[in-house]
Amino acid sequence: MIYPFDKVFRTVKRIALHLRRSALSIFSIPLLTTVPLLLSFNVNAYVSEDGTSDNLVVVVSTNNSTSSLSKKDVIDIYMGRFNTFPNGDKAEPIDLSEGSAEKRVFYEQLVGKSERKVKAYWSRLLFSGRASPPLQANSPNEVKALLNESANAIAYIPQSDVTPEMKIVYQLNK
Amino acid sequence: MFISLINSTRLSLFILIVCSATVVSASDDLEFKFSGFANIGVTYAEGETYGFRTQLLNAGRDGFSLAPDTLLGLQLNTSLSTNFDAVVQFVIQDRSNNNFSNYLELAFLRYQLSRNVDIRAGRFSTNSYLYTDFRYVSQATYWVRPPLEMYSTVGSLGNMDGAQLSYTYPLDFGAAKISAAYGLSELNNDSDDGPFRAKYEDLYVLNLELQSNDWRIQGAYINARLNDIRFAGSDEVRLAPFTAPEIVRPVFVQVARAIIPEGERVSYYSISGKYYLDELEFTAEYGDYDSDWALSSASQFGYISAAYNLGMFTPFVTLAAHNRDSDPEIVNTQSLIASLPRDLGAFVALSIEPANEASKDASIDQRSLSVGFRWDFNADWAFKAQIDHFKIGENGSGLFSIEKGLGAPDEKTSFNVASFGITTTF
Repeated sequence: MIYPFDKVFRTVKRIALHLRRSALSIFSIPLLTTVPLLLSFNVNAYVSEDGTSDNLVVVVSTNNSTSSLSKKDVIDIYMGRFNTFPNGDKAEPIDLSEGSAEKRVFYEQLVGKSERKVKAYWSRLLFSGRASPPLQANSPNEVKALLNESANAIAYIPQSDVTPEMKIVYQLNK
Repeated sequence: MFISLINSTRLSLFILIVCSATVVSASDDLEFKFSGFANIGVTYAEGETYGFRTQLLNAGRDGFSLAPDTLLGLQLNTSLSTNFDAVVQFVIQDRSNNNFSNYLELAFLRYQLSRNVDIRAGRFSTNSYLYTDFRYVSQATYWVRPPLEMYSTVGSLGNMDGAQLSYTYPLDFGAAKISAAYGLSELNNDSDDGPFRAKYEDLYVLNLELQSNDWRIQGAYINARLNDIRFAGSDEVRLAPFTAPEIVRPVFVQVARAIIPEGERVSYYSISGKYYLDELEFTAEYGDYDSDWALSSASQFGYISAAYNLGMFTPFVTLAAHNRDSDPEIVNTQSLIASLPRDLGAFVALSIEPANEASKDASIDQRSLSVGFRWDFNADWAFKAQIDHFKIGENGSGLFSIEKGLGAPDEKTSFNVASFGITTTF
């Protein structure tokens, strides 16, 4: 017999929606101010500090032999499942600093997780000895420098920041 | 504090140092990274019967105490070359026995054979359950601590010394990881009468993990042979079958085998799952432990837990249980006395009763309800609070310590513990 898991999940989802509505009613005062802000946010685009909309892309150095990656490949690298590119070359992922708009949008679009959940996830991987988190760069310029230094580096940046020394291997909102 | 280096610990460190030195001498890519985690927690355990402890290897505490939930983890990650790396981790916490081995959590060298295959040698986690390999990292969980019914007994089988081969396979939904490990582990604990030691030899572990972005499933099987069990009086228990009168010799043989089952095997299997449904998080685990050891008897245990993320707040509720297979009595002394001449019966009962009492003190039979919340008040720090209500069966308080001079209560009891604290990683 095949157990109807889809029905179970649908039921659980209904409960979750009900709980969320209850939570909305309980916490309505602060949410009334934040919900309009959330609704106006376009999750497919990164909004830079000057307020213009841009797309995030995943890039490697032109010296890297990888020409393209799937979303699954990028998840495998950035979530520590594999520490190599699909061709077996070592991968050195680079993260932008905590609290940056790029990092928040990148992980929301890639795995649907908040920065806090991603941090908790990496605490698990690091302190279980499984993997080390991505190297942290503090600015797009530092990302560019790290990509120039290592052919194994991989990073996410706004599309407008891509230089001739970089190769786009994945576009997040495609 | 950190006193005697024991054999398997020494072996793990030796492997790590020698292999690292060999690789380092041929490497230009040496990199070090220090990191750590810390919990500062306060617990309040009510009553005067039980001492609260978060693991069997820790000391029991009553009233207000910082000891059960306060710990500091220090980790060194070293990249030795493109394919070699090493990890060493110490966790300083409230161990009742200060053997160095009880503070060394990880000390392994890893070589990556290919994209999918890696091999480790040294000390590493057995991954017996879903949280075994990061059970001290409170920043990675919403609880104050993982459910005691499942994790208090992880103890010396939480990690092992040996070698492990892992294969990770990419799948459409995520990845699958299969691991096989072989080695040994040692139990170093203290009882009221002094140190208690045992070895788990011929230890092998099989793990299967499946993970996607929204869920994680894990199964594990552990099997080991008990050996070299030592505690105050263990030599007398060993000798008893040879010195006892012929007529009662089988009884003393039975007691000696139950208390010191050297050569006997113990096994665990577990299945665990975690599922994220938007802001809801479900976790459930089940474990089955098979053993004829009267001081660590066969049982089943598990829990279900749910948490709901409300921005910075994550309230949660957990139901957990630990059920023993049989009542803790090695020999029924009443029927034994009735079958023997009066003087001999009294002598035998007097000799055997301490073994029965030890078995009752170690027996675990309890259920619990835990509620609490996590508050991420800062990007690096979280505050947690939790209340645990334990319902303990007759002679089933083995997860907690008993006040000196008292035996395990032979009636149903309850026990409440309130905990709060802060946690971080660095």
